[in-house]
Amino acid sequence: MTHHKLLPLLSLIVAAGCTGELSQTAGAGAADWFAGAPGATPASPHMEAVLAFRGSRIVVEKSCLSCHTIGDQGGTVGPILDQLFNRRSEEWLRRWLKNPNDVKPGTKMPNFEFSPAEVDELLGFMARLRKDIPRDEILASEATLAEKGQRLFAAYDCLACHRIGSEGRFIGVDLTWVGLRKQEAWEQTWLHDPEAWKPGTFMPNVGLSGGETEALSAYLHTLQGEENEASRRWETRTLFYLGGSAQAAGEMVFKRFGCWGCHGLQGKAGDKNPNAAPAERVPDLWGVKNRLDEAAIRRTIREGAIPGRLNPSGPAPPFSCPSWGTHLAGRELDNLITYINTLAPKERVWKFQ
Amino acid sequence: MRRRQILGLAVMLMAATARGQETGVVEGFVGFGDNFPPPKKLTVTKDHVVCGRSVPDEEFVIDPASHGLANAVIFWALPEGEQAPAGPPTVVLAQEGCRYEPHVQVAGAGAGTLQVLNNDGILHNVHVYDDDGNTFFNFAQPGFKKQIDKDLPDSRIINVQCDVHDWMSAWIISLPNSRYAITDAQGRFRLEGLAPGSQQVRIWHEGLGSSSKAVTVVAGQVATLDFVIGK
Ligand code: HEC
Ligand code: HEC
Ligand code: HEC
Ligand SMILES: [Cu+2]
Repeated sequence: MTHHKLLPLLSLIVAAGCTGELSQTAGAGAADWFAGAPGATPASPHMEAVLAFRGSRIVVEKSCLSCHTIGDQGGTVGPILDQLFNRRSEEWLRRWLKNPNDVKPGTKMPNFEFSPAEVDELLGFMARLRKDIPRDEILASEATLAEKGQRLFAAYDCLACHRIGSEGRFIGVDLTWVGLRKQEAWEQTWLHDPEAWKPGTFMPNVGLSGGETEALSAYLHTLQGEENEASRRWETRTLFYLGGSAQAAGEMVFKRFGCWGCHGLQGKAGDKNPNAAPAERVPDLWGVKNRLDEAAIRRTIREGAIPGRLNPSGPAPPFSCPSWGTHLAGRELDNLITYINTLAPKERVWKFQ
Repeated sequence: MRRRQILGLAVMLMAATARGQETGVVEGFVGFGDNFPPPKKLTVTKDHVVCGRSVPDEEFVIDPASHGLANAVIFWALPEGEQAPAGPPTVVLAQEGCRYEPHVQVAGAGAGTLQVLNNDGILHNVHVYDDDGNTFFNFAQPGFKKQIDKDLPDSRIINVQCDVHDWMSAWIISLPNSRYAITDAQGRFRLEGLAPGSQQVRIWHEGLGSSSKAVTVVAGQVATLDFVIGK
């Protein structure tokens, strides 16, 4: 981490209106706390500002911004942290910072072995980044339901993890086509309490009201493709022609169409699909090339597939494979097939003879 | 690092000479025929000042002249009941220019600690995977932290990766035997201290998996053994 990244962070603190009065007298006990005495807590708003300042220093020293974005600086490996305090509880964050791997096994986020004081300081800093969400104002406005949803989506910074078009991150599923693949009723179930549908999911429960859930689902349902398809094609073409990799280009197609939303990351864990034959699950794509021939895989992707019902008189399963034929352009389907063929235990090209 | 390997080698030699004429040597070559994968480069996507613009893909490090393959680990099972002489207790892995040095190494008998050095002055994270590909640990090593010491997992094939620089990868092979060889840049190896008779010599390489071959060892003599790689 270089020093040019320090400045924007400090200016964030100033913008949060908290460095100005640092020189004024702090409350009782502050001297202890300032000296780092164990158990001492900040005793006044001024000391909270010091806490936040120290937290910002940790962010710089530990180079969090090589993976995360705060303000307009940083990397794309992890979520954008500005609106963190609108989606995670303090209790959750303490667990996360203690050891991310305990919360999400296999995560790329390393354990920084923070001391309890450092955790306090980090949380003090990140709490200050939070911006209020004008829920009531948005819901009471004149706009259509979908427009209200769009404003809520921006206010909660759902793009901290998700992607739409060329904006956002790939921590969550790309939502560009979500309206085409998921029904509004399911969106509502999901947004209301993601863990109820998928225990252990990394998608946070942000505590939406019924009105907010309805508005957000209405907005998500309008997402049925790209206004600017050229951006996706450019992205996959760059990987194919400049990167020279059909596999990487295919993986990008897989991510950008949100195949992961049903088939799981790397096609490894199909979502549950009540009353779908035979197993009430969306099939895994892991090893699919050993199960189906390539022509059948191409056909399913082009034309889509509706699963049969396990119980013929039961309800229709919520998920079926959308038909992607008209949306996939140029080499995208070929590259997708190349990628899907790699979704299997690795076969070695070179062998000991 | 190098010094520790030499130390390990010295221990091997001492063990071999202690039993004098009773043991033999196996020398050989690991490499490709005329057909071999071309060298590849991995694109560096960040921290260019320290990491440069690209790094060599070290999955297959092949000598263009001999077609020999570096970084293959050669070892053999100790006879029933024989205790392996302990090797160094610490395995040292350095991060230099957003690469690991060495790319492949062995944790011999008695090794329990992984010491990771950061000479780059930027954040790396040390993400250690066990045999099953599960995270054993994942610790951050910010630029100012020059050294961290952690327990090695109780695994045979340990992969170390950095998530900040996703091209970084290193392998640590855990052997109950502190006598082994790693092929040099020309693909050559030399194993010492094998008991006479038919021996099963084993090999591991990250891009090839493992295999083994029998060789007849004669006390005080050098037997040759080559591993050829093809499609
Ligand atoms: C090697 C990359 C990396 C580094 C360095 C890193 N993180 Fe993370 N972080 C992640 C990833 C990736 C996630 C999301 C979890 C996942 O997808 O596995 C995450 C998630 C988080 C979250 C939860 C975000 C949310 O919205 O739920 C917090 C808080 C966080 N990181 C804080 C930090 C802090 C503070 C630092 C620096 C001390 C840091 N991270 C350094 C990769 C990183
Ligand atoms: C901290 C990261 C994170 C944030 C912030 C986040 N999500 Fe998610 N979201 C996820 C992940 C991860 C998944 C995938 C669920 C899984 O597989 O466990 C997901 C899944 C979804 C899905 C299902 C997509 C599909 O096609 O299956 C929707 C819809 C969704 N999120 C909407 C939202 C909305 C709306 C917001 C803002 C209120 C939001 N998310 C904020 C991480 C996040
Ligand atoms: C809305 C959820 C959903 C999405 C999104 C989705 N699929 Fe599917 N997919 C399914 C379901 C359900 C089936 C099973 C259909 C059946 O039973 O005939 C399926 C079947 C398949 C199959 C056949 C697998 C088998 O074992 O029979 C392939 C291949 C496939 N999908 C590829 C894709 C690709 C590629 C994408 C992204 C471009 C994608 N799917 C997106 C739900 C989805
Ligand atoms: Cu690194």
